[in-house]
Amino acid sequence: MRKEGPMIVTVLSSLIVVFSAHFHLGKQLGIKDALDGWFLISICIALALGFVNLTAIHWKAIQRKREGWIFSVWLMIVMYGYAVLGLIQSHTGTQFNWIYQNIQAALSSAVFSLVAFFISSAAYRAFRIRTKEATVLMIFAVFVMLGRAPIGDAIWGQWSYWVNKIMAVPNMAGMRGILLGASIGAFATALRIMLGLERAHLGGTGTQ
Amino acid sequence: MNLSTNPGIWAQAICILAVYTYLYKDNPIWRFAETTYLGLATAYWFVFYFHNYIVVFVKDNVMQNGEWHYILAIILGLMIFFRYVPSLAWLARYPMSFWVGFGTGYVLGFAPAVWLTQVRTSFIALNSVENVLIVIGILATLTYFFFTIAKENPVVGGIAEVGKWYIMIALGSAFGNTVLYRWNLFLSRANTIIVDWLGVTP
Repeated sequence: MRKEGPMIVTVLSSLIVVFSAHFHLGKQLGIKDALDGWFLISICIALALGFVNLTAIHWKAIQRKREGWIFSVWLMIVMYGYAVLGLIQSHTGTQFNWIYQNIQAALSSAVFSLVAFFISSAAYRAFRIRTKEATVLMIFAVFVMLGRAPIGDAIWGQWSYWVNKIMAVPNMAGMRGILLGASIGAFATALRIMLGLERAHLGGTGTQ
Repeated sequence: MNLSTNPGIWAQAICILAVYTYLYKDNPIWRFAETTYLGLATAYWFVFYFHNYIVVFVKDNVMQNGEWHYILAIILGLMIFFRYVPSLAWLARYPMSFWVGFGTGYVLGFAPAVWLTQVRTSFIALNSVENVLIVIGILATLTYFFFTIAKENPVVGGIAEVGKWYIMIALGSAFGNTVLYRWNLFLSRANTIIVDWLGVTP
């Protein structure tokens, strides 16, 4: 039952969702609503896995006094301190929210904005005019960037008009093609999982 | 210049400057900001899901409505922690199988309604240059993704080549938008430092 049991669970749960999506009886019995609840509550509990994993990794770093272990100590203090504060106050508590808005949100947006500097230099290195395809990609990227900023229209009054045209015609067609290709791929993979041909989620060698 | 007296703005400014020290090189101030962010984010989402879902489910669904089967869902979720017990690690496959099965069912049962709408809306009247370009683009891009057809065939290869250019334009536009979004975030952070914290008004 180490492999068969989980396989049965996969097939059954996927069949129930499909059944409740397409059959009147499935909708009437409200099985999907219950299954939605099961999914939500079990996934919420599993989210604590990240908490446990971080603790395990950084606890080892502290024990072995690895380079930068002092930051691991700091991480544990921050993580457990903030979690305890949240469990006492709930996520709407005054202090808990103050820390979220003034520290966590500020750090989060600063880290994401940091990517702006690296994405620009990485783009230069990756797409500098080596092939025709890379050239087209770069030209359209720069064209869209300038058209979306006020400087585009300041240079040429028609810039944002043509950017909108690019977004509505070739970009839309290309993106829709990519989306349909990916959706068909996802559908085929889902079918393989339901038929038991794809077993990567059970660990081991993956596909049969 | 009119320096802010708001402790919240001071905290934001210090955090932003600590993160931007990474632009110089990896340094202890950055590591401090990084670990603070990691710790806070992990704890925040743990608390958020605990209060919003687990407490609500246990209080409302289990205690009030008597839907005791949700206790089994809690046990199923907890089974993922068997990963840490080598002899019982295989039990962690059960919750994973349930999640994968649930997602699979969703993709098979509900997702087609989304992407088939995209297919339907692609059947547009060929009464303008734009519409013709859109239809050609979609068909050519899809042809590019047909890996079961040999691209050596000149007709298929030619259409796939057109599809490739459409993909390049689409990815270039998406990339441009992404870069711009990140720069917008940076400008917003710069605004916090210059206007909100230092009090420099234009």
